[in-house]
Amino acid sequence: MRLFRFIFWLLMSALFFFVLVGKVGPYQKLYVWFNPISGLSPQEKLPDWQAPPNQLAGLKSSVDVYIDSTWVPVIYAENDWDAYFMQGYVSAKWRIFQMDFITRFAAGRLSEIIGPKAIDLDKKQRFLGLSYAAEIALHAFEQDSLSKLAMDAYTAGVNTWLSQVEDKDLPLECKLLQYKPAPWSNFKSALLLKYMADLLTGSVHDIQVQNTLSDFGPEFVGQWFPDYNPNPNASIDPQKRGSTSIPDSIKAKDPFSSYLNKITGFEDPTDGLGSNNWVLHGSRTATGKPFLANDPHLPLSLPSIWMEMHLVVQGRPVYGVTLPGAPGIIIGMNDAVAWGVTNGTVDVKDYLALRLTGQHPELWSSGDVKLTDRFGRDSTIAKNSYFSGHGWEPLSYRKETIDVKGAPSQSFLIPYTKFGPLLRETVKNQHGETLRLTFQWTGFEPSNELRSFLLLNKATNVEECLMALSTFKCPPQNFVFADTTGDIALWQKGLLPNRKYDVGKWVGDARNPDHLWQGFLPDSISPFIKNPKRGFVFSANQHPTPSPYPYAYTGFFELWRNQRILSRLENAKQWDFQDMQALQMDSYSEEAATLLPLMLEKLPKQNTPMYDSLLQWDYVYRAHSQAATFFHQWLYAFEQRLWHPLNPELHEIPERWVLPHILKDNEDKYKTWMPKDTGSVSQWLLEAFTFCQDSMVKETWQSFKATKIQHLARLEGFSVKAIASSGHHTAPNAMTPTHGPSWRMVVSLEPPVNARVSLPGGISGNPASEAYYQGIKDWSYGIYKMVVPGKIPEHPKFHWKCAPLSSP
Amino acid sequence: MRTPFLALIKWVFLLALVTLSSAMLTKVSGIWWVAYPCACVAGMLLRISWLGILLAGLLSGALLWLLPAMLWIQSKGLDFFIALDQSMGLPGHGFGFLFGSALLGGLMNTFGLVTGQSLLRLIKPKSMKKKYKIPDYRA
Repeated sequence: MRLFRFIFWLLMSALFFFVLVGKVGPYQKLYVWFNPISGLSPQEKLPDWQAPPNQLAGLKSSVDVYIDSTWVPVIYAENDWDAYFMQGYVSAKWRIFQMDFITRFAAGRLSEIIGPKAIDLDKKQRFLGLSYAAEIALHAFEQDSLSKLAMDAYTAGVNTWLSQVEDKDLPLECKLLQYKPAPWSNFKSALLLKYMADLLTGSVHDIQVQNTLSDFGPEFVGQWFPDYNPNPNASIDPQKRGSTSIPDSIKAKDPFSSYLNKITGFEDPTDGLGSNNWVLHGSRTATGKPFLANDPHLPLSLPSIWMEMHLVVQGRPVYGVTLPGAPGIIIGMNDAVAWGVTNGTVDVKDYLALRLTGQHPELWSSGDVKLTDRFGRDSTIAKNSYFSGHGWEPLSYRKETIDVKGAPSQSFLIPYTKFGPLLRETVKNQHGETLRLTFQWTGFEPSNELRSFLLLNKATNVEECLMALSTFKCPPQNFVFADTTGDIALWQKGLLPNRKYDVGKWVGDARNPDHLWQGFLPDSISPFIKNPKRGFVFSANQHPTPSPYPYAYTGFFELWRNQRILSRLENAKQWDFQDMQALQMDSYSEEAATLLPLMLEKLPKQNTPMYDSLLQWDYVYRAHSQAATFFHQWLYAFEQRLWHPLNPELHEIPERWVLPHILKDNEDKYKTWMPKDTGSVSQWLLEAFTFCQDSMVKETWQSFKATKIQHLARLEGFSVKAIASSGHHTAPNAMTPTHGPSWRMVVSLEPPVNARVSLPGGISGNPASEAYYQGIKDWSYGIYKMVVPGKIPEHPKFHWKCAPLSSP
Repeated sequence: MRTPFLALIKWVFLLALVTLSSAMLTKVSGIWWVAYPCACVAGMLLRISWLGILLAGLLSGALLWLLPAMLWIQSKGLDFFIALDQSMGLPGHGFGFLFGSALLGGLMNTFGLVTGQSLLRLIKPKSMKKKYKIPDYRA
């Protein structure tokens, strides 16, 4: 009996251990999480404060690293290698999960750490071809000695940290998912930059406009989706540079692919991205020297998409924000120049429908097809051909393998046309033929954006900044510059396809040569301004050029923000930091100021408090305004009724610049353009008003908008919800529930260059660290901190000295 | 009164022995399961009631596995554990993870103690019987 009892408890113990190390429901290896030494509860012990070893293999000289009082790393190095090495080291120390997670997401490799749940997402990502684009970019990066040195040093720094870290010090997310990040590589840095390029250019409206075209016809699309909105303030005058002759652009023959049926299965394009930047010339500032402002509006996440970094190499500083995973500073300033970017929002990705021929096996099953890449490695088998413009061309194939945690790997082939990946989605034409879709994207062209940023970091004047952009192609960005001599400039830089008019707005026909890109537009004709007479340059994602511009381009351009910024800048006199910051925090909506009076005019007078509050509203989206919430809802409800024949999930909804014309005097014209006449504008305004008044809970704008900064891996507990903030996407302070100013920067170019900056989130990716939530409150209230590039922190949190590893 | 008092002393001694020895070994070795052999050894040192074993095991394990968390809460508050619970889909306002941690730690030490005690009874049944007459309180 006693023996039996002993064996019983021994077996029970074994069973208990089996539970701890095995799988319980959806959870695996519970002991990893609950381990009192290296599990989740001692997460506060992650070494925020732990110094690197005194000697680091990989350094060439001694390096001083200060962590300043706001947790910004300040790296003093004797040479570029050491600066980028330590940048990689400290980036990994605080953001390794972010770096690993984003590059896995971009490459379609999340299943390796998440399991079968992520397979569909991974497949979708593989068909975007970001790894293919990164291979091309890496080839270009490694041809350039400056870029190669930076990437090699950065990668060495990251991998040095990874080789030193103990499992117990890994990020919380790695412990939850029970994996250790794989070694870093130059390819991953290239992949990260392609991920950003896709984020800023990949979400296009071609499919939605194509569906609108298919269902409502070319005349309808022509009327409601013209190339230019009539906004007179939305232009940046182009200045010709060089003497390149202007090529002829003519209308495409048969520009409409209306023979295509509706296309389903595509996600709605992501809107909400946008940014502001402007530079005031010294003639408009209190210091007599330029002021530069930039606030890129991106998805808000924790940790932030950006990481503040301060590098000082041989006494020359550069300060700003970097993308964890890439060397150098992306947006920032040094002791002589400052630069900022906004998204060009020019369409550089076009979908094409094409016909396949040849054998027709299931293209995406695994098989013995040998593979090829752009550089001629391996060989190609022409399993299928496709017709493109001038004749039949063979498909090439990339073999993709998705390794899945806890499940068998999946292999499949992705066919590539000369444009890009062949998608799984099909579309039928009116003859019943099944066509495949592919897309062409300037991100697949060889380019070196990294070199541009590295050169900007070292520039000493605006001319050097302009030269730095020579290899910058994708995503097209509006760069603004200012230097301490007083020069200011704006250049929309990026590779733009040379298209026929109307091409690129919807799905093109690959058989029609007119629907294909006719090469690329030369840099010399891209929108550019230096030291304009009006004393400022600015961009807010609006049309870069006025309508007479002789080249065809398309995009999704901002309508209202730019008007407000322009009107403020035109009146700028003796501006200082306070004025610049006030404009960044300005929540006045030009859209509301334009539309609300017209809407109220058409609405019968209402005897309700909400009607009265709308009459008194000053069009500012303040945090505590209820009128702002009501107007936002009312406009949305009105639009739903106005455009009710269109399905927002399938069709493109006309932009709001058409509303004033409909509300003012063109209701009859509107009705002739619409396929159904089922009501009047006044009736829909009243219906929408009554609906909102009856159904809407009285909420403040802040509570309705509920801006949230979401944890990178969507872990709710580590997100910050209901942030107290004003702002609206049509105001300079472009705050939405999920997007917002991811970095606010105002730079004074009066020597010594100094700045006021604000970032929503601290340096650390560890939710248990005090440096995780840091800065969010100040950012939401518009409180900035002062920075001076090159200044040694007075009260650093830590000061680490690292020397090269001496030989034994 | 003497017998329950003696039992209490033994129980406290056992608790301290298991907690301290396994905490020290875990900390030094960095290996979480050393708590189990510690508890086994402790279970072999003293004969005690099954109820005592259960309480000593649960409490010592809970203390051991919760100690880092308790220190953290003392200095920083419960916010991190509330966030952790939400992220793991656990209810409990920050106590879900802590409770889970305490339970697993407690079970580990309990299994260690009970296995040690069974081993003791297996290898030294007679001498133990002499020394410790089955006390009434054990029922």
